[in-house]
Amino acid sequence: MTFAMLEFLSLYLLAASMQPHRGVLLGGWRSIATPRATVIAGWAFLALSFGLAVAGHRPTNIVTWFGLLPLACGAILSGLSFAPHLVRAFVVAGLAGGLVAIALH
Amino acid sequence: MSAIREGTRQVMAWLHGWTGLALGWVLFVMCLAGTMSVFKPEISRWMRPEATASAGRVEAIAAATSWLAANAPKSTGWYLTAPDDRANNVEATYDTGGDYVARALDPVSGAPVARETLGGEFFYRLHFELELPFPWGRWLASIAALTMLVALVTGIIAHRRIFRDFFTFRPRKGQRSWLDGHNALGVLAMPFHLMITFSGLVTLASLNMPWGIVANYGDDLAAAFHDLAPGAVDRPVAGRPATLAPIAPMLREAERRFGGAPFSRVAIANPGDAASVVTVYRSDAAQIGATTAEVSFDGPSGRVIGAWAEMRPAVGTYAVIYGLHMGRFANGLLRWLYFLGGAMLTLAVASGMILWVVKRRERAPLSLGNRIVERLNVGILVGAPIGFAAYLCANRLLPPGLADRAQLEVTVALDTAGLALLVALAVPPRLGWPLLLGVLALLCLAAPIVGNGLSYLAQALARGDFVLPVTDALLVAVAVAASVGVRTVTRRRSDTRRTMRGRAMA
Amino acid sequence: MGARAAERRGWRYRGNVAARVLAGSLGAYGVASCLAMAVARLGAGGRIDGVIAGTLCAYLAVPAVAIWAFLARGPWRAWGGVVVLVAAFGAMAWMIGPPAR
Repeated sequence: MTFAMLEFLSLYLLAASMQPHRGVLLGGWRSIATPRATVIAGWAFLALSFGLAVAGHRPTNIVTWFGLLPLACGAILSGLSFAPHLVRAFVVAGLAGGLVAIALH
Repeated sequence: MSAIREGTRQVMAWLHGWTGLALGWVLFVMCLAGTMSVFKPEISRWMRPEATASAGRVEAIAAATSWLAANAPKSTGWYLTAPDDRANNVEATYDTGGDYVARALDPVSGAPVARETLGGEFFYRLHFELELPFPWGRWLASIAALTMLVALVTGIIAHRRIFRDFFTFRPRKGQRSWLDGHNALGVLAMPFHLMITFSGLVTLASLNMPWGIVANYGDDLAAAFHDLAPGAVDRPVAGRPATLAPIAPMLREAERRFGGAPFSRVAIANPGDAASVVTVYRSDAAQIGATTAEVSFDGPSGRVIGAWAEMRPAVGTYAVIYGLHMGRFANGLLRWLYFLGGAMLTLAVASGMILWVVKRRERAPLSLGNRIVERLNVGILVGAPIGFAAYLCANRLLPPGLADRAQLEVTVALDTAGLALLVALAVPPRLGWPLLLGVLALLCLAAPIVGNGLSYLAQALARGDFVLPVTDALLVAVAVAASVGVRTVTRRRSDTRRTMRGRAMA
Repeated sequence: MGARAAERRGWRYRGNVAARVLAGSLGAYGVASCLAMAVARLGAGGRIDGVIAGTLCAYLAVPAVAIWAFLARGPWRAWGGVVVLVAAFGAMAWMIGPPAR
């Protein structure tokens, strides 16, 4: 379950990076992370997270996957509208925290 | 997106606006009540703060049936919902010769809890019956849901750059901001909105789309319902009195047949009769599908007369769709995600109604019709929450032993909302918005405090029960949001006045 | 602006809109109901399985017909589509006949 969430949150950063938000969300990575690359990576991680949700033996995971969509998108939207520089920091922190949680599990 | 012609998009936008306006206020109340219903048992616990006794499922139902046998023996049916990890009382619906009443029964004594209240049931019933008599409320809800479906689809088609604008929100720009907000609330949770609307229609299907049953069963409705749940036996009264066999063994036998899964609902038809039937339903909490297994017992003897565990794909699909709407399987995070989806849908409807007015006001002075729409917006978009907050306050303020207390709480809720609506119609919106938002803030602050509220909070914290504290925190959050609303509305007014004065002086 | 506003208040326009509204609401419900009956009787599984399939399809039909009612080239065409669908699905249901028990 944590997998699904993790992938989910990381990919939304990527999917979002393909628009006027590129500068804020990618910062120094802009030259390496071309629009094309981030779009492909974003959709790939999204598909992966959905696959993980479906593959698990709990059907409620799929419902949770859909339920997390508005939460993740809403959080990114709010971040971009009111505190854009914080969004990248939060996603990095979230990723780090998630990886630690998996390692400890 | 050039795939859809500009003319088509305009027609869809027109249709989206008008279908939204036609039933928007009804949909707002339905969505708000539905969102509250996500936490129905928690609200019921908040509204019965003294009823903290708990017992096992089987013991609680046994206590309830003993009490009912002594106090409602001639009832045509006792419909019980067992306690679980979210609710500690038995929810019972039964009749004592007249209309059906709904009571919470203490799980230890079986007697009705001292503080008679509908609890969260008020929001649940309002959501699909809109306080109208059967079947008109459900029909209105069905029509509203069909309209919502049309509004959702036309909204999607009309949206010009749905992917590119996905993360766009430009605050403080008048109509532009309201449109961005409305779009975001609608698009970001679109899977939820489509799912909840479609599944909602399915829950009322036997009323609003019975033609499939008519085509295949004619007027034999009983056969159709039997095919839907073959384990639930429905047989006519025998006319001879008989006592009900002990219910605990029946419940344990049912759980054995459910493979150890718990039961949740128990329906006892014609309890004092020789042909009474006890039907035990498997809990909806363990899987998405609702009502997927049931066992029926002969009342006087306790013998099994029907049993079923759903395996058929079509009926299973129906059960899953029904279950997705009810969301009883959702725990913890998922339950809060349901709440988030519902809140976003409610706010999407509300922002749409406001957008209708804002868009037209920026173009030209409002026509009479639109001025009425504006005032109705104030009265309903803030009035409904005011009614709900009044309901909670009434629960704390009305003395527990009062007769017909439950109905009185509902009356307070409806009358307060009605009063708010009248005030909103009478005063200009620039006064109406801050006034009603202020009243909402006060009521939401009062609800956790009045009528010994703080002592209940202290007691709950002492027992480690988090339902009361979290609910109180949410009420305070709403109060804060409403206060921010008051400040925003009044500040914008004074800003415009300052700019106009500046322009006049230049 | 003046000509368009006048056109919008004219009776011809109002009749157009009213006819489409009826087609998109009552007409859509009629199409959906007949579709429910046709699919229910078409069903390969038991009686109740067909009923469920038909009912679910019916709800999908309502927004489709409502949108058709407003995208069709004229109010007559809008109603024409509705009538054709009601007749087609109704005939299908009637010809298949009620299922055996």
